[in-house]
Amino acid sequence: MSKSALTKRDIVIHARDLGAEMVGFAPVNRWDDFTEVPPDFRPRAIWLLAKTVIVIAVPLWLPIVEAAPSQLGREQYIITNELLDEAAYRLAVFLNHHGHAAINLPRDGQGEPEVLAETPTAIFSHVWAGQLAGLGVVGRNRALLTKAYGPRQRLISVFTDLELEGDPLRSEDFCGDCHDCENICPAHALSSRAGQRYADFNIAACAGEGKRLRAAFRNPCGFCIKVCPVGEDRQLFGSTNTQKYFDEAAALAANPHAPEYQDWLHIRKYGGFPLPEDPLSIR
Amino acid sequence: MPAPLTKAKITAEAKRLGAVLVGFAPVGRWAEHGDLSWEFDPQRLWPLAKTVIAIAIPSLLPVTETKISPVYRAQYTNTNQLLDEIAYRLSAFLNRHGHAAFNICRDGYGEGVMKIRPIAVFSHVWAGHYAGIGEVGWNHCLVTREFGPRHRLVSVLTALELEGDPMVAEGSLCNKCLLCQKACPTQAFSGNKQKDRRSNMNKFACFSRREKFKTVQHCGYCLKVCPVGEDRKLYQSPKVNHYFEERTALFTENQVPLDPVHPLKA
Repeated sequence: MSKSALTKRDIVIHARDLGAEMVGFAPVNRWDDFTEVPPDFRPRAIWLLAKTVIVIAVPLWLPIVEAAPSQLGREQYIITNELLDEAAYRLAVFLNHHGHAAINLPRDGQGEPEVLAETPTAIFSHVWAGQLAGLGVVGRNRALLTKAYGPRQRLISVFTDLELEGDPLRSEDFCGDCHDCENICPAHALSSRAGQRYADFNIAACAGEGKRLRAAFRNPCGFCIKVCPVGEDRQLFGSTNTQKYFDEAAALAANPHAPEYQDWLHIRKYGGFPLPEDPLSIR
Repeated sequence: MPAPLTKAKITAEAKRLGAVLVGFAPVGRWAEHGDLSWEFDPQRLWPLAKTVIAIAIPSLLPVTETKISPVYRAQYTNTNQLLDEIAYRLSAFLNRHGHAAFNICRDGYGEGVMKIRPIAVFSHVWAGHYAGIGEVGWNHCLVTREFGPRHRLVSVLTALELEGDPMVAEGSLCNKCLLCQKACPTQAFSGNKQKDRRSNMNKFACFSRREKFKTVQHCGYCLKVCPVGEDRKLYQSPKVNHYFEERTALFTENQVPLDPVHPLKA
């Protein structure tokens, strides 16, 4: 295979054509002194030839995320994962075709939730890669926050031996001090003390909740991503009042037919099995 | 500033992504026609919804005719995945242009859920009906001019107001020949064709069949026998009698299988 010149622009256009909504580039040396990612999990520890990590993201649609837990949310999770894996694989093939070695790292690294409980670390963090590729900043909830979609996107990475200029890192830290993600988490998996930038994350608690919802075909949970006030998608979808998530249980206990919650209840009712916390009206 | 998007541009993008039939239904049509309860109105699902974009891709007739078979199952799985991808990416296209949109996945059930609640969160079939892609036939499938009922559907809801496509005239595609009712191994369809526009469908009966043939899945006799569809001409399979003759043609009297769909296992 002969090498042919490829610019970042060519790669971005191709990735978009494959379905990527956001694309960023991170030279691998950005991991060198970056203490959040342990040495064993840095790109060159995974693949010696790696020079650049290309990070791709596709958004999750807020009206579906905020109706969670639902089977529709599960389907959205499945299709975005499939789309990402396919886009990353095909982008690697595109680079290889032009003579630049490349591999895609799968977007999820765990088998069943049971594996997650035992080995709660994926082979590579696409989230930190997203920050180092300038797509956004990692939030308190340890999800990547972007300007456009807050934490509501799925991520994947392609490693290539092609040297490319890195995209500028986000200078603005748009994760505030609201702690809404910690407060809404039904598994109490997130907690931080004053001054702590990233919450401690109890993965076993999170995975346990995921497993419970999965048995009803209504995983993932995603409360920590629906509640986040960051993201222009909140304006786009006309849903800026995040207090509504906190008020939900009391409002429905007072009136199971509270009109402002009926769209979410409808989405939860169909396609999956009932959960103990569902109001009687949808069981 | 949202960039202006026309129906032609949206249709072109959908087709670029793999859609074959695309139609537009203003959400008002659900209340106006009253075929479904308010619970299944797009605005109940999402109050901002103004238009439903219905998308279909065909189930290819020679594969569909082999029902029940593993090749059809594979076609079903592949078309579902493609549809979801088309609808997701079309939503992304609309959002990118500043028009809120999201896709409703084409299927809506976890394993076993149909046994307790065989209703999906949203009916793509009725969306296709209101978007003028076809008409809901006696068998409760969307009967289209192009593929009869042999296609799969998905929907995108958007806050963008768009003109609706003309609906198909009632009775112009499904003439109530009742072959679907006759072919159904579970007798899921019943009704009086003089009085009823479409059959009463016993969904539990229909899904019992699905449970029975889990490994190869999906009966779909009501799809393959439907005489409507230009695909019949394309694939040179205009006659439907042989579906009914299959059993007697393949087996002598004392070899008659226990069930015609699994003749070789009899």
